[in-house]
Amino acid sequence: MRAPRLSARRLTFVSVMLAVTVGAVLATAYSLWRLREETIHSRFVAASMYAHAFEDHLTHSLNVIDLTLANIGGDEPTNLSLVAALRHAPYLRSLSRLDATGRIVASSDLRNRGKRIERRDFQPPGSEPVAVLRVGLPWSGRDFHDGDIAISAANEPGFIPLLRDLDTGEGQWATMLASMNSDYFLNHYGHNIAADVGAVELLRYDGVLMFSTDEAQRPGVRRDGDPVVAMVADATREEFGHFEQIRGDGRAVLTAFRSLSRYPFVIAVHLDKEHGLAGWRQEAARVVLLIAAALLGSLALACLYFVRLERAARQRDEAEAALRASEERFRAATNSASDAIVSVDANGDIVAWNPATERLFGYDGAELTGRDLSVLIPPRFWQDHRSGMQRLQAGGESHIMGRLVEVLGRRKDGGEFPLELSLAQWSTAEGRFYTGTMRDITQRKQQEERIRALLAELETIFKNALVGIAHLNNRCIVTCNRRFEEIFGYESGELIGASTERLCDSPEAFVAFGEHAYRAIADSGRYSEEIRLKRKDGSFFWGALTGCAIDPACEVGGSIWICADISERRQAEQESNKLLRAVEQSPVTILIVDRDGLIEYVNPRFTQITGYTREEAMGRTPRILQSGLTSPEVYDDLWRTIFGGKMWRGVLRNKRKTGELIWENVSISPIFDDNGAITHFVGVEEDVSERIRVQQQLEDHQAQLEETVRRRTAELTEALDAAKVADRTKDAFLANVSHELRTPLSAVIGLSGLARRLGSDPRQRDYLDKVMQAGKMLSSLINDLLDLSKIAAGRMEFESKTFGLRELLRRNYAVMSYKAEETGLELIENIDDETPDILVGDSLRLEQILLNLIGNAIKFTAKGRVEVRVGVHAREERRVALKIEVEDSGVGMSAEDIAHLFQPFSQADPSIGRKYGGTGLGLSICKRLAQMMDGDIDVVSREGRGSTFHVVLRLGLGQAVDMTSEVGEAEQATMRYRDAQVLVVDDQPFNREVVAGLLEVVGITAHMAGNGREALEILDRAGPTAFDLVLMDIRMPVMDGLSATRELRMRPGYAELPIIAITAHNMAHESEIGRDAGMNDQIGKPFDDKSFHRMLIKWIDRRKHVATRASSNRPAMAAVTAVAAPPSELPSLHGVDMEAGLARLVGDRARYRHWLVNWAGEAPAYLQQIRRHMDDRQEDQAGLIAHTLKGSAGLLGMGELQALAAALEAALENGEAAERQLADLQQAIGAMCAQIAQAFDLSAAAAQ
Amino acid sequence: MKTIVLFLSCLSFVSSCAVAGRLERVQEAKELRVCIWPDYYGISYRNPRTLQLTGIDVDLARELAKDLGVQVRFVDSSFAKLIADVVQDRCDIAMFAIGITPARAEKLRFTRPHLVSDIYAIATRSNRRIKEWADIDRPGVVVAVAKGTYHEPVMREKLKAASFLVTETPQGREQEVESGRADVFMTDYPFSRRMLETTDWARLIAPTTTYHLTSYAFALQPGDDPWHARVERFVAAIKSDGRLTAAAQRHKLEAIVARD
Repeated sequence: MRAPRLSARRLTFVSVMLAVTVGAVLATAYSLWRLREETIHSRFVAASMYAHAFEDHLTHSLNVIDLTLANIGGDEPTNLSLVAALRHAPYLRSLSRLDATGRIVASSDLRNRGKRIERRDFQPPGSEPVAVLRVGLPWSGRDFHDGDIAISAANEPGFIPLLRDLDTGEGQWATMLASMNSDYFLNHYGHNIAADVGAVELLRYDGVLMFSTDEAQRPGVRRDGDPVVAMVADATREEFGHFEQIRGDGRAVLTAFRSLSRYPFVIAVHLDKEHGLAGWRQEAARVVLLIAAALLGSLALACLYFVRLERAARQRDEAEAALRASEERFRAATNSASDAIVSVDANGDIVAWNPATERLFGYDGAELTGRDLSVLIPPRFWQDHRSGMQRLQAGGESHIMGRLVEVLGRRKDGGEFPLELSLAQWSTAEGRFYTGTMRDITQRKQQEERIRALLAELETIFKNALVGIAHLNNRCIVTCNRRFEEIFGYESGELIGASTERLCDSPEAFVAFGEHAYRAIADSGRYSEEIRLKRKDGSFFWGALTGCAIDPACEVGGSIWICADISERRQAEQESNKLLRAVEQSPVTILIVDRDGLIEYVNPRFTQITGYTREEAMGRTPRILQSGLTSPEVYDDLWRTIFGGKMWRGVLRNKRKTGELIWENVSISPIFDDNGAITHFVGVEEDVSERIRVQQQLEDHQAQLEETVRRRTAELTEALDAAKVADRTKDAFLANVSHELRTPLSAVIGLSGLARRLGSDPRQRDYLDKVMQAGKMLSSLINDLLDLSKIAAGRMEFESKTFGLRELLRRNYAVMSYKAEETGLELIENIDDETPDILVGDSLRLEQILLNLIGNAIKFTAKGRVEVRVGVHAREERRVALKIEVEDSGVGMSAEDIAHLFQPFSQADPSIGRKYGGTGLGLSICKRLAQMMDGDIDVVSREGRGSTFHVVLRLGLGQAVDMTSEVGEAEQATMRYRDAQVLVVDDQPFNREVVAGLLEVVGITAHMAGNGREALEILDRAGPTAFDLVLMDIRMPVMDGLSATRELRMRPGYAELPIIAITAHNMAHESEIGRDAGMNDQIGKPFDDKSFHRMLIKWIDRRKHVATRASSNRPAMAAVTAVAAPPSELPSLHGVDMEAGLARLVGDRARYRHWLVNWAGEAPAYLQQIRRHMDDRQEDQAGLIAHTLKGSAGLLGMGELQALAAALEAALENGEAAERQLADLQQAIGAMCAQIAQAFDLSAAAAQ
Repeated sequence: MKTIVLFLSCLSFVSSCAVAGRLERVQEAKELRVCIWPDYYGISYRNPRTLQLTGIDVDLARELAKDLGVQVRFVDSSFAKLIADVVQDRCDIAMFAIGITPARAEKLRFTRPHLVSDIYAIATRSNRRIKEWADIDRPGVVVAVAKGTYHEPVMREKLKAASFLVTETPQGREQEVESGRADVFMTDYPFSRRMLETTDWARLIAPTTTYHLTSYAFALQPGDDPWHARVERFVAAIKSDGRLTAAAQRHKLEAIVARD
């Protein structure tokens, strides 16, 4: 198919080429021929023009010569005139004049004269003179003188004679002759026509050649056959013309001739034909060459073009075939494409589409043909579509070509769906077209929406994650969530772009972590590590880092790191590990089973005890341990208990793997989950086989022992009874000894004081002072010994009562400052504000310690000050360690002294006792007391620089409800028992007054009875519920307290009435005696207000006497403060412990004064009564009065008097002679009364 | 005796006045009179169409006047009148390529030559008798020279066979040759250039070897040493400073510049 087409094409091509070539050759030949003809013609024209010009020139010259000859000839010219006429006439050689004979008679060249000229040689012929110019035959030579008419042999032009006859008038003719210079004309002609171009010849009409530029042509030769001559001779012919001829030498010439109109000359111009055609020939050669070259070139180009056409045609054929195949494939591809492909023309009309388009838009067949594209577009976008098409047409939307855009499509049914559109533009001869490739992206959009939601979700997670999340690249933070920054303590955004080095523990850790972490990520894609990290503030914490590459295949993609602060977890793990280790290393067996009883965990001890390995035990039930010796009821109880959520304890008879039996003490507890549901049980089992074995052995022994014990018990019971009797006897003995020691000691002290006052001998007084001091010291020693014996026997009891520390200190200060003032010292008390006020403990013992230390300080300080500092040493949960420092500026102590300071019976210096008194037991007791209060006492001291005692005591912290303080105990009582009814039974008015005063403080009005009988009568009258409390002295006249109590208890309704003994005996056995008699409690005289009030609080029925706080206006407090107002009006009285006395009257100095004065008024009367009873041998009555005196003296602080009265009482009770004691008492009372009278100016008062 | 001395003093004074006077007079008059031959093509030629003077010696005369700080005035002269014009003080100097001939040297004082030329023949182009230099000195040949030119004595002496024709004017020799009455006329290099350039009939026939060299120079009155020295200094100057060469090139005469 292809070959014939090619052949035809080639044939056609060859034919065309041939035709073109032939045509070109013919045309060229014709043109060259035409050019040759034109060249010849132009040569003829040129020859004619030359001929014409030369003829003109020659005619003009001949005219001039004719005129010259005519002009000069008429006047018979001379030689000179002829010479002059030659000037400016180069065409003449000479001018001459002939005579009638033809001889030259005159000439411009003198050498011509005499030369004869024949007229017959001239033309026009004629012998008659005519006034015309005649032309002679050419001459050779320079002029007539050396020339000849013959044809010149020499090749020289010679000259031409010209003859002119002229009429001189009157029939006379003159003849002039000129020799015309041929050379002049030849020069002129030769100048125009070079010898090789042609030749110019001048012929005379008769055919004689005048001259020729052709040097071969000899002048004078007659050219008879010359066609020019022939033409000129023929009168009918033209006088000018041209023709071609072959010259004698065979050369072809183009001849133009022209005859002169007035002169017999004809000029012939011969142009060499070959020369004339030389240019044409050259031109023709060039043209032929050019045309041949052009033709060949054209042919070559045509061939080349043809070849290329052939190739193009072949390629086109192949391309067409390929195109057809491609079209087939394209159509197939397009038809099978899942994307819709629609082509529209420039108007937007659909011109092509693929089946996918029909499927996508719901059209079928040719429905789309010629339809506007807008059928596929929702109507609301039509306007945009049309303007878009216009912009496309204008080329303004070219940038969207090839780009993917998302648009909405419209199905035939009107449904809209998202499309991804790609536009392409193409052009054909028919115009511009646009093809859109569209893909339904509904699913993708949905996916994108899902992805967007997912991203938002992830973003939310990212932002709110409880762990830090960071995207790192090159170990720098690309982005991170807020939590990440919070973990590291950075502000929002502060970490973006930062290197993670700042987050690492150290640069080395950063490098090390980078090396192994990123290698691990490169290997496995992820990496986790718990690492110590650094916060912005420089603090460190443990973080769990988990990193993974975003794209493991792409390193530069960076990595995502999750960071959690696991400090707490690590701590918990450590705790957990600790617990686990505890469990693992526990000396008891621990196992955990699930609800089905399957073992999930056993500790190593289990393996040791049972012989089962952990692997053997796991998954099995603890029944493997059952020996079968434990009753099923035990197990039932066990399961019931633990499923009931309780712990089961018991001893189980189990067996080892080896079958060996063991006893195990088992505790099984349920383990609950957060919902309280039981998930597991933990069993703790202790191998008690050995213990039980021992126990059994013990039991065996016990059985033997029991027998022995039973046997011995009887013996011991008897011994115990005996011991109890002995103990009671010992206590009574000790109390009695104490009493008995104190009583005479009081007498010794009191009487030595009296004796000293009465005596005048200084030595005697000194002795008495020493006796008194020794007595006091002994009394103090006895008290201390009693304390010490209690401490040693472990019988020292501590109260646990709420008290106000500050009130205690205030009171203490009041007492001690008085003492300090006596010695001229300053007592300073500083209480730290932080010190708690409400404390729980034994305030008496605290006070004892304080008084002892402060007393010592005052005692050992001659001048200066004593400072007491109270503060908190340490706080505990419910206690406070109170810190008390007592600093003095006294004598101080050496290190050696300090070493023995707190040992009993030791004083720093034996002389101290002598100088300062004291038993040396005080500090020892204080230290024991402090130690028993979980504290201690130590001292810092230097000799001569004073001492500082540091006391630490631990006391309970009081509760808010105990806000009532010390003052407050009274206050508390006041508020509670304002209306309480209390009966005070004492034979001593002063005693009653004291008690009444104390009751009054708390708002209680006391009812008084002088003895037990009176009390019974009052109670009978009032009834059993009238009184809330009875305070009863033991020893009274008429009926003592014990008897009255026994009797009262026997009466109906009085069993519950609280009866408190008021006793001077302060021994435990006395209280037992009181309790035996039916008394509820006892309070020892001289009692202080605190213990008195505590007693009240303790015994008065609260329910019955709750006082309303609203009605309480605290009159007692007002009273107390009122009487406490004048503080320093009490003068010092010898033998009176005003401190103690004042304390008993709650610091009421006025009242104290009152009772001192009162006592001074009554005491002499009591002495008289004693005297009288002694005289009447009524020793018991006398003793009773002495007792009363003793009590009142003790209450008022008259230690010496009390001792003297006690001595008298003792003597009277014992039936001994009491005169001496009475005398001593009288003396002492007299001195005291005198002292009181003097001190309070009683005479003035009495006078009034 | 005193009278004789006085006379001699006066004589010497007059003489010195006369000699020294040329240069001073030129400077006083602020004018340099220069004799030229206005038909001397290339040397001192007055173009008949414009009357402008051109030529190498016209240029050099202007240069001399410029060097002297004076105006130049050209005085028409010719070779025939040369000596008379110079000696008779019609000009201060003759500057038209004056060939140094013994006859002239007797009357005039020449500067050192600035041009040097051989002798050339001019024939008509169509003259069949004279084809080459050797054809000149033959019997029947007529050789024309202008009267007063140095060719006249030279050719008179040199020609042996040819006829010798002396014309009164330079134009005469041309007319003789053109009308065929003479075959050639003899001239120098500058004039031969004129013939070839201004006529269509003239043909140059050059000697095949050196025929007769003639040096051209400026001519002064004899005896005026300062003036002569001054002009000589000028000649030396134009030769050394290139003015001579430049002028020769302007007038196509560089072939005949005399180089020292």
